[in-house]
Amino acid sequence: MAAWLVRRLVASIAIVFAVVTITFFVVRLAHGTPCGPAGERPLPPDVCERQRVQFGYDQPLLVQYGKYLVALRHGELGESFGLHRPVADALADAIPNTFTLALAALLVDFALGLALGIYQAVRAGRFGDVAVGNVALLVNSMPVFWLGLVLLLVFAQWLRWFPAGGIHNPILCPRLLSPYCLLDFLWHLVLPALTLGLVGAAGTARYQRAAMLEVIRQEYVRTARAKGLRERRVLLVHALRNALLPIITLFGLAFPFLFTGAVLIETVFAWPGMGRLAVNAIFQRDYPVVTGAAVLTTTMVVLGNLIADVLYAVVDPRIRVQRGGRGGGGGSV
Amino acid sequence: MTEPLLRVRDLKTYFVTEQGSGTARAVDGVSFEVQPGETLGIVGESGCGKTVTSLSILRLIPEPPGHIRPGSVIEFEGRNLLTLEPRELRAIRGNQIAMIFQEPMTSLNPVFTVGDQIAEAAIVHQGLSRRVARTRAIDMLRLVGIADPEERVDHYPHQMSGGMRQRVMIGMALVCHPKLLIADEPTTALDVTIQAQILELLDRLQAELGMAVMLITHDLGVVAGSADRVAVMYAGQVVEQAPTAALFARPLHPYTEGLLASVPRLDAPPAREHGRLHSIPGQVPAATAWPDGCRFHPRCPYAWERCRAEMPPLLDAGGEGEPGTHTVRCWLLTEPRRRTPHP
Amino acid sequence: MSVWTWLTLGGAAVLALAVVAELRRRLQTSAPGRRFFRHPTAALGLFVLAFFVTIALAAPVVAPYPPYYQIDIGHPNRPPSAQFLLGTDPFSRDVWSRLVYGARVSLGIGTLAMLVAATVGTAVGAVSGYFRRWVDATLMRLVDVGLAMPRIFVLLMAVALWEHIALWALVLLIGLTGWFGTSRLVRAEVLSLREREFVAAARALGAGAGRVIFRHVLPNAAAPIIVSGALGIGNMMLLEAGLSFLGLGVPSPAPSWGNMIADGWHKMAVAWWSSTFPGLAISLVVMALNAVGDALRDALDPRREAA
Ligand SMILES: Nc1ncnc2c1ncn2[C@@H]1O[C@H](COP(=O)(O)OP(=O)(O)OP(=O)(O)O)[C@@H](O)[C@H]1O
Ligand SMILES: [Mg+2]
Repeated sequence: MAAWLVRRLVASIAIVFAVVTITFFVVRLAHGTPCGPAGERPLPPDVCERQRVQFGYDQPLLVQYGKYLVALRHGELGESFGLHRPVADALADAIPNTFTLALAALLVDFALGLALGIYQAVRAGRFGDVAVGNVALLVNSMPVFWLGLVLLLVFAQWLRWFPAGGIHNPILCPRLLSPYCLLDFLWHLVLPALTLGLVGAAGTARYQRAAMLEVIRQEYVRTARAKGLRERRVLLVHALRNALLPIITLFGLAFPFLFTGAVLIETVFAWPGMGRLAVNAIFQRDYPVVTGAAVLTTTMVVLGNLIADVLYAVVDPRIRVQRGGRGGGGGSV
Repeated sequence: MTEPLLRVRDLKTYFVTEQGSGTARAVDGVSFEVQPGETLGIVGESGCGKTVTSLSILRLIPEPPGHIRPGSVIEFEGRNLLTLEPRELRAIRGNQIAMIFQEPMTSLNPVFTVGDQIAEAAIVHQGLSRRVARTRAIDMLRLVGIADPEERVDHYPHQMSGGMRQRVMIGMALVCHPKLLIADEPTTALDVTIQAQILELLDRLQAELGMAVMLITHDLGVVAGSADRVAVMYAGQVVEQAPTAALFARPLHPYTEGLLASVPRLDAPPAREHGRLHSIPGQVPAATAWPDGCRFHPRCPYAWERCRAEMPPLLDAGGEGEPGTHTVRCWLLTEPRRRTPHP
Repeated sequence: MSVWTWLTLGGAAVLALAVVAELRRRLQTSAPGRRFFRHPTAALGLFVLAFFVTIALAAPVVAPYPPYYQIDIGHPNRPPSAQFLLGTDPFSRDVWSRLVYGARVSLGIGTLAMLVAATVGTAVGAVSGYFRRWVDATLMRLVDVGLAMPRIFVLLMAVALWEHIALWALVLLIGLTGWFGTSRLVRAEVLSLREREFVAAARALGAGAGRVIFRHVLPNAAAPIIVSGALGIGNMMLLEAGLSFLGLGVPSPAPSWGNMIADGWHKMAVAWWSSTFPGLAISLVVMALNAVGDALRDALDPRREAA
């Protein structure tokens, strides 16, 4: 298990390294300098030249690359062109917001997706299954940002149940200090998290239904029934435990989806996270910020896959033992 | 005769198959009884409905596509299992009637330890604490002849061989000391040497625990060694039923005759045709299209018009013991002179 | 004008129905065809696709107004009515007309990008699976990296490097960032196929690598490629919509369903229609593509028939 983990870790680091290298060179070679193609505000040539020197763009490419890597080891991602602060700082401000949003969405995604998928599998072929399945297919086909707009229209504009965007009430709660402000924050979180979570849940339900149907057919489920167990226990302990194994893979896959979705959802809901930061940076041609966000997101996706793999190994005794770990303590029937 | 432990009467289990290829009448009017403590062997070729019969007893038929027809009766100690509430049924499953399956490789849950899986039935039915149940699981593993039970109790199924898994299945089935054990081809998937060990184990445990056993198999050799009585199934029906000795001495149904002829014997050289053991010509028809009349007639060497037109009832064959000890579903009983094969 | 709108709408629906019926009649003769139409939503999905393809092809006939035509700048955001089927947008353009022309852009980009992705993915997967060893190792590491990078960031970065992005470049970009999954699929298929007798026989007869791959291996790997392609178009369309929504994809005023949503976005409170209908159109088409893709999988690959 240890050796496998190390191998897996090395591979992950290699991937991140490759992504850093690729993004660095692509952006630089495509003249991603402060004087690159003019964005909203073209720079006068002298300012541009001053900035080139200031940000170190006059040095040879390989030297710049080396410096970037060295800085990266300290968690630095260079200096933003437009924000007048280090990229790492700007990202550090945005990450907690993106993370909260992603986690809340993940919660909706899996709680709802698993429940619906199990419900569908148990009622396979009957009305409930077909109805849920078609709705899930539709939701899964919606552009996530559009669903956000529709929810905003209905629940913020028409019904006024939720705020129309932002992360907190700027007047009463500029900062998170009181229980009231925590509630205010959660109140702002509901719609964006629901949007992202619903689309995810639609996919999760499809997957979980298939996994569960596959498992329900297995003979050990019949064995469990023959033992005289309650149907609930048969399904939720004996079947579900097996059907959850493939779902862990889905957990790994959820990360790219969540971050991709976050880019759009944060824009729709004016949520000050990484995605919105990156999109704004693009319009400013602020390449260091875009690159930094891409590197960070990749790292997180790779990390998510790693976690999923480790989880898989922990949960599935067959893999656990095969990879050298001894069983024990896992199963509580 | 004493009150039977299990009485199955006119059991009909049908499957509605998809795409309109019709209804599979997998079990179609099966009746038999199991007395306390005895071993009833059920034999028949693949697809004749043995597994469906045994699953029907515990109502484990997947619905849909399957269903047990109204009018069927399955009485256990005088109670009709088919009308029980789910709660009452659960109290019987795994507790009074236990079952072991054909495939030890896939019948154990891969993500739980064998100890947990054995202990579970004891916890559910006898209210044992987890710790006591674990001790019980270790005892059961020892009882079914697994070495190092203290260590094995924490193993997962994939860490065990097929024979060991079948022993675990047996331990799991017997943990609550059921009155009836249904063993559906417990040895088919195993090596020959392991088969003998498992059968021996079942015999020993039956003697120790005093339970009745329904031993399902397609191997008459297995039945000869273990069963008190035998029911022969063909195409969803029981075609002959008799005490083991009587059946082997005097098989009356042509299908039974054929089966017996295909058993390799030590005392006579096996009759080989084309390198295969003698077997009954033809194939079992599909459960969606049983032949009219006697279902065996297309493969029967004696068949005549009546067999094609009319399904024979179970007829008493006389012989030793009370009436009904030896019954056969064959018109030959009414016209014994016809027992000469057509050219 | 409005009678004509209704007429063309009905005409497109009838035509789509006819296409589905004809397809059904022809495919009914083969086993995969029958399996395809047995899928509960396959025919409906085909109908939706046929309908949108029809109006896209016949856009000048179907659309009552030119897509850029600003009808009455003084009175934008008119609600859906007999005259303006789906209302007008904040720039006072007819939403239905733009939706019709937008179908060309959105469906076109989705389809072409999928073709790019499927071609590259198939080529890489086939080469990787056929030659194995270091070729395979190198290509698959590349795929690992590609799969790890969140696609939207790659696209954002790439788009940001251009001043104005041309449609063909957008197609290439979306396609070239979308082939990684397909290549893994094809590689697995090729790896198992190349061990089969008929491939070994072809090699023994002295067929070159290209001939073996194109004549013997790929035709047998076609089913999963087709299925993943059908499911892939939807993904490509969603991606295009996302980029266009951010203002980084199809540039205004050319209509794409994504930038139509963006155009109506800030006026959503007073004119819900101009963003809602293009989104519905995307949802419908992607759902139809998914349904057809699922049915194709069941039809072409009976082993994996859904339980
Ligand atoms: N789930 C099911 N759906 C449809 N038909 C079924 C199903 N299960 C069983 N059958 C039908 O019931 C018939 C009898 O099957 P059964 O499993 O009882 O045979 P068996 O005697 O146990 O054979 P084997 O020796 O192969 O175990 C089969 O021919 C099949 O057509
Ligand atoms: Mg069987």
